[in-house]
Formats: sequence, C-alpha cells, structure tokens
Amino acid sequence: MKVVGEQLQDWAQEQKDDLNKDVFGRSAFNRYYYAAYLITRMNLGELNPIWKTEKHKAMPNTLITTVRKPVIRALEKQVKKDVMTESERSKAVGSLKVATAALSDLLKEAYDLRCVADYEPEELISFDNKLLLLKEYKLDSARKWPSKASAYCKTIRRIWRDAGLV
Amino acid sequence: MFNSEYILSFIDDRLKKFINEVRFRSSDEVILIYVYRGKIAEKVRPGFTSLRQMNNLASRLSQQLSLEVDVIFTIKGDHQGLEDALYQMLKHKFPDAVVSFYMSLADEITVNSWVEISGLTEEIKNKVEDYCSTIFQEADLNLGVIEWIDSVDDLPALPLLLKYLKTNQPIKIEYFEQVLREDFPAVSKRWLNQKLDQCRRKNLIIREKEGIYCLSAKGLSIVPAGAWYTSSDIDRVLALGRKKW
Repeated sequence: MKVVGEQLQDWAQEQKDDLNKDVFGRSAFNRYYYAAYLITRMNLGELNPIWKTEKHKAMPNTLITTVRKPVIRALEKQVKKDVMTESERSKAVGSLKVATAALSDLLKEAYDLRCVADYEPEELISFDNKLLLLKEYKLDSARKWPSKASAYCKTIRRIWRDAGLV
Repeated sequence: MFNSEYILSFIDDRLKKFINEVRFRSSDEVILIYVYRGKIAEKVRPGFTSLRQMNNLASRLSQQLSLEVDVIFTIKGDHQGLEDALYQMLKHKFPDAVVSFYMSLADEITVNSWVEISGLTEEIKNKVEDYCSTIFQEADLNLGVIEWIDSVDDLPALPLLLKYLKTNQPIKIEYFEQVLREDFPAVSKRWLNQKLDQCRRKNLIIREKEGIYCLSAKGLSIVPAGAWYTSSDIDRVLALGRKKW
C-alpha cells in the first residue's frame, strides 16, 4: 500500500496539469492512510485477534484504552510479586502511553485528511514549489505515516512482550 | 450542515484560543476540533489547556449538538520541519548508524523520539541521546522518551524470561539459552546464569540436581495466563505437543 502511495506521489509531482496533480496527490494521501491503518491493525491483531477487525474510527480510542489496560494490570502484579521494580514499571508504562498516544494522534489526523482527500474535492491540493499540500499538510509528511505507525507498533509490541503477554 | 462559525459559537471564549481549527466532516457527520499538542500541559495554566479540558469540551459539544465530536491533537508545521531537520543532522553526524528518526510532542516542550539505528551499541545510543538533548535544549525543548527501533542487542525482560521458561520447562540451561537466542541473539550463557540465579533467589524458579530449571508456584502465578491465543497457557500446550518424549 505504501509503495502505491509513493508511486502516486511521484506521478503527482511529475504532472504539468494542476488538475492531474490534484487527483494523483489526493489519492496518495488515501493510500498512505490505508498503509498506516493496515500496519496498525495487523500489529494489534497479533496482540489480540479482536483487533484484527477493528474499524477505522474506533482504532485511535482502542489504542489509548484497551491496548493499555492488560499491560498496566500485568506490570502492577509483577511489581507486587517483586519481579519488576517500580521504576521499571513506570518506565514501561510511560513508553506505552507515549507510543499509543502518538499512534492514536497519527491515525486520527491521517483519517481526517483521507476523508478530505476522498469526499471533499472542492478542497484542492495546493502547491509550494515541489511540495504538495492538502489543508496545509505536506504530502511528504504523509509519506512517513506508514513508517511511523510501524515504529510506534514496535514499541507497543515490545512492551506487551516484556510484560509476558505475548 | 454546520459551519465553523456556528460550531465555534458554542465554545467558550477562554477555550477558543487553544483551538487551531474546527470543522464538520459531512462524510460521517463528525465535528472535529484541531488542537496543537504544544498547547497541552498536564494541568490547565495561563496559555495552556489540558487533555481533560479538551475532552470535557468535546463531550459538552456532543450533547449540545447531538453529534459525535472528536479532538485531534496535531503538531505545527514548524515542528514537522524540526523532525526533518533533526533527521538530516543525525544522518550527517552518524552517517552509517541512523536509519530513521520520528518525533511526537507530549506537551508544549517535551519531545518523544523514535530512532532506528543499524548496529546499535550502548556507545552509539549514548552519543545519539546526548546529541538530541543538546539540540532540543537549543530549541527550548526537552527530550522525553527515546525509543530505539529494532535494537539487535535487545534482551528479554524478567517477566518474559519466566514466560519462556513456563513454555519450555523442564529445561537445561544450555537448551534454554538456544531457545532464547532464536528470538534474542544477544543472550549469553553468563547473562542467563545471572538472571536465573536472580529468579531462584526470589523463589520464582527451582533448580533441580541435574541442572534442570522449572517455575515454582510463585513464578507460575506471575506469568500472565488466560484463554487468548497468545497466552502462555496456549504456548505451553503447543510446546508440549511438539515435544519429543
């Protein structure tokens, strides 16, 4: 999916006609969002199969609620049983909260831009030299969504794993 | 159809200043409130709002307008630029090591970072961390959490070590080392000996005469277990099925 987005972005930048730049550019936003969403869904699905079918709009909230809960509970138990120190627990919970919040923010913003790209054709892509922007958001920044989602997922999975949950 | 002015008329003036954009998304009928992460502090104070205040605003608006309201926390364009610039600086400073760099803002001054390094060592970690801290200080920012992606020198945490032991017990240290090394190449016999000794002193594991290790009842009670498919109970059953007796 990311490769498709990159190809669409390259085509958008090569186009001479503004209308063509617009249609290729907004399709690239769409593909970058889907790449980030599918990466997240696949990674969360490996932690709990219920999340394999998580809907677009529910995913950001799931990340900051139900994805955190089992880890927080397991780590508290491990501190009580002296397997982990309080500072180790606090560091792990801090990292989990940071990664889930960052991924939740990314998916919410990317989903909204994807909706603008798909359903609001009157909101045209603008150009600043070689940069393509949708509502002042750079397509170059959207290109990083899949890699960022993957990085945040790695942190979440590592903490789940370290807690002995996977 | 709700326009931005109409939605803003429901929002208190003292909160409007924290809002970057308000819009109605007609495709799924949701009101969106965009707020810069840089305007969020742990507690409300002059010039800053809090997560709780924004979430309360969203639920109040939702009741008043009978629509779903979502708050989207975003970063300013100049922070996106900072991420690109810092990545280039790190690439320049550590050309063979830094693969990628991402950041997110926790609040107005705290930056969390994700750094991917090829051939990660403690020395490079410290150098990169010091370099990032110095640059953030210059920009009046603080380095919050720094996460290392794909670190090959990763070692299992104690709860995970106990889960591996539960799956593979009873097991001799030599075989246990082999099992762990499949997922954690940095595991050494010396490190494993130390960890197992630590667990034994905490009465989490038992070492039998022949040098075979098992979990104690206390150790078993710590390993998370349940009916989900990644649970330690399922792993254990599958491992028993594969075992050649």
